Formats: sequence, structure tokens, C-alpha cells
Amino acid sequence: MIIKELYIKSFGRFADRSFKLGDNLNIIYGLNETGKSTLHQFLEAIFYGFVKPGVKRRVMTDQYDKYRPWTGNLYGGSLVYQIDGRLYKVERNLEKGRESVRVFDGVSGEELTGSLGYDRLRREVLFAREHLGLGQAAYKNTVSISQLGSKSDADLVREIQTRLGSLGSTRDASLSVGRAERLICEFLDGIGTERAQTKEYGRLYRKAAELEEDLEEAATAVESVRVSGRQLREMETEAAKLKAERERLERKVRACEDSTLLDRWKGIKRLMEECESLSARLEECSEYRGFDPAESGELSTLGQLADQDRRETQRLRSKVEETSRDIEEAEARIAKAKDEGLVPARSRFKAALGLCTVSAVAVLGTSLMAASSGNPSLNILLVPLIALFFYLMVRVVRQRKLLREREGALRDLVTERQYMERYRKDLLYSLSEKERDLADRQKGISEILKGAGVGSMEEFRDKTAGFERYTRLKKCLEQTEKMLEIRLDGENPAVLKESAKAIVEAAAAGGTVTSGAIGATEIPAAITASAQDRRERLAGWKKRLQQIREEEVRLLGSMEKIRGGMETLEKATSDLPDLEEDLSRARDRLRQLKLEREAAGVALETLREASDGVHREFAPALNRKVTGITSRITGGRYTDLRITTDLKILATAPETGRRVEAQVLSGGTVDQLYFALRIAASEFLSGDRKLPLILDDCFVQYDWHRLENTFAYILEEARERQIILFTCHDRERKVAEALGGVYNYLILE
Amino acid sequence: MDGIKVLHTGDLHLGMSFAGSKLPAEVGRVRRQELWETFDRIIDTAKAEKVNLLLIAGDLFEYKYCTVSDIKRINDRFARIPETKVCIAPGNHDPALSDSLYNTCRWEQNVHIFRKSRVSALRIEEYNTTVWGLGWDKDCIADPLLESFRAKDDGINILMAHCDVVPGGSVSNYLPVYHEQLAGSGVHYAALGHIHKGGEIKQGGKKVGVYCGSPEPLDFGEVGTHGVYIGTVGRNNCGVNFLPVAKREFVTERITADPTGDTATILKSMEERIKKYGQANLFRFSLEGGTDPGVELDTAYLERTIEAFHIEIKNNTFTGYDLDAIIEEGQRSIMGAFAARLLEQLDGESDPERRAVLERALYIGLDALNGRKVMGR
Ligand SMILES: [Mn+2]
Repeated sequence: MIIKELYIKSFGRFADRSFKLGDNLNIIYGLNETGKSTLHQFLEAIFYGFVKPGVKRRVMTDQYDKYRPWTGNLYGGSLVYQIDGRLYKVERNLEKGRESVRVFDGVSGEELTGSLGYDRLRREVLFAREHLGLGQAAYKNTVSISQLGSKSDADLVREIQTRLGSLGSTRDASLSVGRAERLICEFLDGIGTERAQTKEYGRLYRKAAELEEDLEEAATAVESVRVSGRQLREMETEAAKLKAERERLERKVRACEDSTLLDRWKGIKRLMEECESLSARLEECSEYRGFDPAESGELSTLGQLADQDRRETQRLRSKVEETSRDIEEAEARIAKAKDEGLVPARSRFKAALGLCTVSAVAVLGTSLMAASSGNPSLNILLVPLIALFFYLMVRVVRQRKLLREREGALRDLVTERQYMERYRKDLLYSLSEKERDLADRQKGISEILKGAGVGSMEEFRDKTAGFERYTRLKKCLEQTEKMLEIRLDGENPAVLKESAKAIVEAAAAGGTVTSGAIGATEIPAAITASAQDRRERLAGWKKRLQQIREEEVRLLGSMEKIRGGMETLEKATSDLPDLEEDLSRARDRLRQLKLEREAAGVALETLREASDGVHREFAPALNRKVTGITSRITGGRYTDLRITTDLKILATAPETGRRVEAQVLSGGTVDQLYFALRIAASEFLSGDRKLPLILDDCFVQYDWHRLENTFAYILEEARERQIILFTCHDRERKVAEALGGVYNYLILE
Repeated sequence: MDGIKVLHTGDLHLGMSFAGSKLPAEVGRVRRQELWETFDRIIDTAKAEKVNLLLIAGDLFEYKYCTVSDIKRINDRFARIPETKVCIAPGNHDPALSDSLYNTCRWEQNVHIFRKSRVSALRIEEYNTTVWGLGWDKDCIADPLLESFRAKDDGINILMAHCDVVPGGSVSNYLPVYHEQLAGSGVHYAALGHIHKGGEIKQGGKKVGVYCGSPEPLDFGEVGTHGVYIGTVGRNNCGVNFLPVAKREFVTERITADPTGDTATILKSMEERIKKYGQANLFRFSLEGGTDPGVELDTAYLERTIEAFHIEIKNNTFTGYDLDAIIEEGQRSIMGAFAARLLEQLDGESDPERRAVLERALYIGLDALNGRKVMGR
């Protein structure tokens, strides 16, 4: 390749500048900051652009901004070069967003871009690879040699190593280790890694991980379902127990309530019947409804008083009669007393008195005769006379007393009769008074009876009694109705009756409502117990029932929750086999891919080893080449060199004769050795392409002697290939002059 | 009664995952449904044939995958044959562990489950029959639990177990039962489960037990016809015979690939075999033989093109590189050096996995060195 012409549209400090180059040695002189590096960089930018190498995407290097013009001109330019006698022109626009590379036939102007390779990811036309046969890294290390590093770039090492392999082969000239590596890498790349999620491996890896997670979840779900199942089973047992107890209690309660209801109905029924009978009886005495018994008290009083009066008159009349009889008797007694008592007594007294007086006269006379006679015999006669006198005297007294007594008795009788008569008179008076009163009362009574429209007291009394019965019945009915109302408490008796009927019928049918479902011992206990007892029991049962119901609701709620959970979880369980199958497939595939990856890795490794092996076989050729160059540019100072597989140079120090790594040698020598290695490598890599050699101030460290030796080689080399040498010294031109070389000289200002 | 009518099955594996069978989930899903269909068919058969005893010798369902609703479904089927006594001897896939659905679900009246791993008897007076059985109640049974078992000598005796019939003294973790034990058990029929292939077990020319096999085959290891055993068991004669019930068969076939990679030829031979067995089956074709360098068999195309319920194609072909010639090149070419290195490694490698990697690496490398795009397997 020979670069004929550079045209810079705009790049760094240059704008609209063109440079023509000679086919052999070109010395481009310029002081610092005159644009040497810019030119150098321009060449690389035209070939490779500013896309960062080694990145699979299009990423700009820092250089992009460094050389971007601020004038607004188009960033880029063109290059004309010749390969195997054919001229090519490459135009490149570097401006981001408007990047373009176009390759033309330098003579006909025909556009060739389309026929060249294209890197889609980095959006690069791969003409440089085609025309130079080198990647950017290799270009930088071989074609373009700037300040020489003392170490080889790792990319270069690899490229040289693989190229060495293909160079050595006689049979498979077309074989390229690099291409094989690339193919394997592409294959590996196609499989991907755990991290690359767009590739099969990464996709599967992620899928497997997800599946594992799902599976774990499903497995957990299965375990949960199992646990839930056990729980549910226990709960079912518990619920069944509760249900049995509840039903037993409910039956008891119902029986109890039934009997209560029956009792209540009985009571209510009785009340209703009573109401009915009362109503009927009330109806019977409805005629008394309008009767006004207001005067009945008065009437009764009057009646009583009349009775009293009547009785009193009766009594008085009989009293009067009695008194009249008494008076008659008293008259008779008086008559009798007069006739049989007083009269004989008076006679007897008068007789006695007469006798006495006679005696007294006798006595007196005797006494006086005696006294007068003084005859004591007379005195003897006197004593019987005196005794007779006294006797007669006592008789007189007694008769007199008797008379007196008789007279007194008669007097008493008379007084009594008088009293009686007075009494009868009083009685008669009273009687007449009473008879008047009675007449008054009877008059009052008649008036009242007349007012009440009845004919007699009896009738009045009857009607009053009727009215009172009516009133009483009515009151009774009202009370009973009131009681019924209270008992019913707003309930419809018909409904109650139906309920009672149902209970009774069910019971009669041996049914289930009361006695059927409940133990024979329980029913009587429930029904026969006293109301109070029953109420207490019922309250207890109801309380327990309430507890059970709450417990049941709670339990059923939990069960429902567990069932719901199980249902959801069971769905996860049903995924389990699918998940396992998917996972198994994914894992199998991953295993296969892993094997593929591993195999590809082994292939790659083995390929490199084989390539190294081949390299080792052909390293002597490289050794010879490098040694040849070194020998010439060092004036035969270093003739025994060894290039290691990682392209380190081992040299035998002429002073000590010991083999050392090049780095330990003086800076100028190291530069020379690596210069030689790169030129050799460049030849290795580019084959017979005869690529230009761009040297950018690489001889700074060389003394005149080294420079002369090197330039002798360069001038010779320049016959075969184009050499572009950038320098800020005049030494190079002088050396070239001194050696009588032909060169094209350009000065940058 | 001269005997009783039995239907002997087991190893249904209702609800199983076909992950181990390497079937894709979509096929697995269908097969899971088909297991149920087959179960239904067995029930229908029991009903139609008025079977007295339905003997299920374990692995009725999968402990791991079965749900309560599955058990409800199973019991619903049992309820359809109320006249039939269903005897179940749980197996290693449906062990009657404490939390097993055998223990946590309600089972129909006509179902008897041998829940314990020691022989117990179910006496059925009606048939003058005793069913002896034991079931798995743990995950591993290595003791020969039938060692001291001997049926009583009255009526008809049937034995049920999900076990591994092995020669006397052999070790097994799947309830070892020795041939002699079966021969000396004194039962008229031993209804066994566990070996999915199924078949009669003979001892000294005499039939001592029957493995029912999986009524619906479960993976490519269970090729051939599958079904149940049905017939009459009596004290003097047993007429229990195999009855196919499986919906599909697993078929494995080897096919030698055309060296030129001509898929048409392969397709043709595959289709011939599918025609022979029927499209409803599951096929696994193993492509064998060497192909010319650069030939890449399009197995995906084949799988897509062939019509059958399920097809899988294992590409076991290899590129027919002239390895000898390549090695001869030796260190003079990269390819020779590469092949020589790998073949040398292969020679010294005994680990099959590593060998697989090395072999594959050889062909990947050769393809790449020949400038061919490396194709994945
Ligand atoms: Mn099984």
C-alpha cells in the first residue's frame, strides 16, 4: 500500500489542506505544535474512525473531541492510496451523527463501499481490515510506530501469535487461527453467559432461576396445603363435635320452648275461653245494662226502716196487748187481795182487838178488884188474865201487822196497776208514732219503685242484682281480656295456635320437633320442670348455645379461610409438575449449553496451545527476521535474540555475554530492538501487502551512530515500502542526506 | 362361588411430573390428563366387567403432587363402582405417611387401604376371600417384610404389595421380596406393583406373582404395550390376563443418518416407523453415524415436520472428519496440532462427562478451523 494523498477537510488545526506523499521515504518536518501528531492521527482516523476499539458498541474515543474543528466545517477528509497498482479513495466524515465512510475507485470514481465488510454493531465499514489486513491495535503497533514502548501490546501479542500459526502452515494456507478463534468466540458469544440476558444461556439461566423460585414457592405451597389439610381435619372433628352439642342443645331448647309455648298457649286458650264464656254470660244479662240502681241504697234503707217500723209496731201492739192483760190480771189480783186478804184481816184484827180490850178490862177490873179487894187470891187469878192479855195483845199486834201488810200489798198492786196503765198509755203513744213513720216510709218506697219503673221491691232488687251481675261480669271480662292481652303481648293468637298445633301434631307423630329427636329422659325433664326451673335451665342452655354458635362461626370462618387459602395454594400445587418439567428442560439445556461452552473453551484453549506450539516451531523465523533487522540497525552489536511467545525480547548483552530481557538494556537499544520487532511483526502480519511504515519521532533517543545504522536500513526498506517519518529534528533529513537517500520532504508550519 | 373376579392395577402415578422423563411441560400436561383418562378407563372396565375386587398395588397417585381435589376425583370414580371392593396397598410414590392424603382425606366406603407396612388381612366373607396386604408408610423400606408371611389355608387368598421382587438375600430399598417368599406365601394371587414394565414373576416355572406395570407408560424407559391384569382368581385355577389400556406407547428408535445430511432420507425412515406404531405415540429417535464435514443436520426441521403426538430427536451424529489424515499433519498445521492435542487428552480421559466435552471441543475446533460457523447442539 502506498498512501498517495491526504486531503483534510477539517481536522484539528488543519482545514482544507492536502498533502501529497512520495512512494518511498517521506520526511515530514515540523516543530512541536505544527500538526505532526494531527496528521498522524488523521491517517488513523480515516482508516479506523474514532470508534473505541474492542467495544462491541459504537463508542467514541477521547480523540474525537480533541480534533473536532470549531469552525463548523465538515469534520474529516479523504485519503488516496494505491494497492497492487489500483487507486482507492476513502472519504470519511467524522462528525457524530453524520459519520460516513465511502470508498471509491481512485481512477473511475466508482463507489466500492457496498462491496466491503460492515460491522453492524459499531457501524463501521471494514475497508481498513480489507486493505491493511490489520485491526486497529495491530495498525498502531506495526504500521504506525510512535514513541516506542518497551513492551508489546497484549493485542499485538495475540494477533502475532495467531498469525504465526497460519504462516507456518504449508497445507492449510487458508487456515486462520484468528478466524477460527473468532468463530468459536462468536459461537460462545451466541450461547452467552449467566449475565447476558439476551442470549440463550442467560435467558435459560434466568428462566431456571425463576422456575426454581416458583418451584420453591410451589413446594412451600404444597407443604402449606399439607399442614392446612391436617388443620382442617382437626377442625372438622371439632366442628362436628360442636355441631352435635349444638343440635342437642337446640333440641333441648326447642323442647323447652315448645313446652313453654304450649303452656302459654294453654293459659291463653283458657283465658280466651273464659272471655268467651264471660261474653256469653254478659249477653245473657244484657237487659240489665240500662238499669239504674242509684236509689237502691235509699230503697234498701227505707225498706229496712219500714221493716223495723213494722216490727216495732208489731212489738208495740203485742206489748200493749200484754200490758192490757197485765192490767186485767192486776185488777183481778187487787180484787182478790181486797176480798181474800184485807177484809178477813180487818175482821180478825177487829176481833182480836175486841178480845184484847175485854181482857184488858178484865185484868184492869181484877187488878182493881184485887187492889181493891186486896185479896191475893185475886192476884193469882190476875196472872192468867195478864198472860191472856199479853197473848191477846201479841195477836193484836200480829193481826195488825198482817193487816198492815195486806194493806201495803194492796196498795202496791194498785200502784202497779196504775203504772201499767201509764205504761200502756205510753205504748199506745209510741205505737201511734211508729205507725205514722211506717206509713211515711212506705210512701217513700212507693215513690222510688215508681221512679224505677218497677212494681215491687222484689222486682227492684232483682233488677239491681241483674245489673250488678252485668257490671261484675263486664268488669271480669275486661280484666280477663286485659290479662289475655298481657299474656299475648302483641302476638297473634291464631299464629300461636298454629305453632302449638304444629308442636302437638309433631309430638303426636312421634316427630322431630320435640320429643322425637331428644332423649326420652330429657323431654319430660324439660317439660315437667317448674317454670322457674325451666327458665333457669333454658337460660343456661341458651347461653351455652350462644357460646357454641360463636365458636362454630369462628371455627367455620377459620376453616373457610384455610379452605380458601388451600384453594389458592392448590393452584400453585397443580403447577408443580409443569414447573418441574420446565425446569428440568431448562436445566438439561443449560447443561448442554454448559458443555458446549466448556467444549468451546477447551477448543479455544487447545487452539491457542496448538498455535503456540506452531509458533514455537516457527518462532525461529521471527527470531531470524528480528535478529537480521537488529543486527543491521545496531551494526552487528546484537546478533543473538530470542522472541518469547508473549513477544518479549531476550538479548545477549555483548558486554557480559549473558542473556537478558531487552528492558535492562540502554533506552536507545531497547527502542532499536522493539523497532526491529515491530517491523518484523508488521511483515508477519501484513504478509506481502507491503504496508506503509509511519514513524512518529521514534528516533529521539538514538545517537548519530544508531541513527545512521537505522537509516541505512530504512532507506533500503523504503525501496520496497512507503515510509512516512514525522520528526521535529533536522537530524533525520541530515542522516538521509548523508547516506545519499532519496526522500520526499515536507515541512509543517 | 368358584372364584372372584379381580382387576389388578397400580403404578398409575396420577398427577406425576414428567420432569424426570424429560418430556416438555406441554406434553407433560397432556400426559397428566391422560393418566386420569386411563384411570377412568380402568374404572369403566371394572364396572363393565362387574369386577369383585379392584386391586391397586401402590403408586396410585403422587404424594408430592396430588391435591385434595385430586383425591376427591379419585373417590368420585370409586363411588361409581360401589359393588366393587377397592383395595389399595400404597407404594413408594404415595406412601401413607401421617400427612398423606390417604390419611387426611375421606375415602369411599368400598375402599380399603393397607396403611401399615406390616401385613394385615382384609376378610371378605361374601367372597370367602382374604386380601393380605401391606403399604408403604415411610420413605424407605429395606427389610424383607414378607419374610414370615404365610396365608391361612382357607378360602381364596390374595396378597398385595408395592415391592421389589429380588433373588433371596438381595438388597433393595424398595421393600425387597424374595422369590421364595412369594412361592411359599400360600396365596392364590400376588398382586404386585412397582416394576412399570409389568409381567409375571416365575419361580421354578411356576407363576408366583404378577407385576401389573404402569397402565399408562410414563417415560421412554417404558416402551411396549401397557395395561392392567383382569380375570378370575380361584382356589384351584387363576385366569388373570393382561388387558391393554394405555392410550399411548413410548417408542425409541435408532436411525443412521445420511452422511450427506440429507434430511429427506432421515425423514422417510422416521415416517416409516411412525406409520408402523401410529402417530398417537411418543417417539424418540436417535440419529447416529458420521456426517460429512460441513454437514449440519437440521433436527429442529425434522421435529417440526414430522407429525406425531411427541417427537424428540437426539442428534448423536458426528462430523466425519478424516481424523487420521489431520493428525498426520501433526505439528505442521494448526489443525493437526489441535486435533492431536485433543485426541491425546481423550485417550487419557475416562470420565464420560469430560470425554463428552473433549469430543465436542474437537469438532467445534475443527469446524472453526475449517472456517465453518460453529453450530450448537
Ligand atoms: Mn411406580
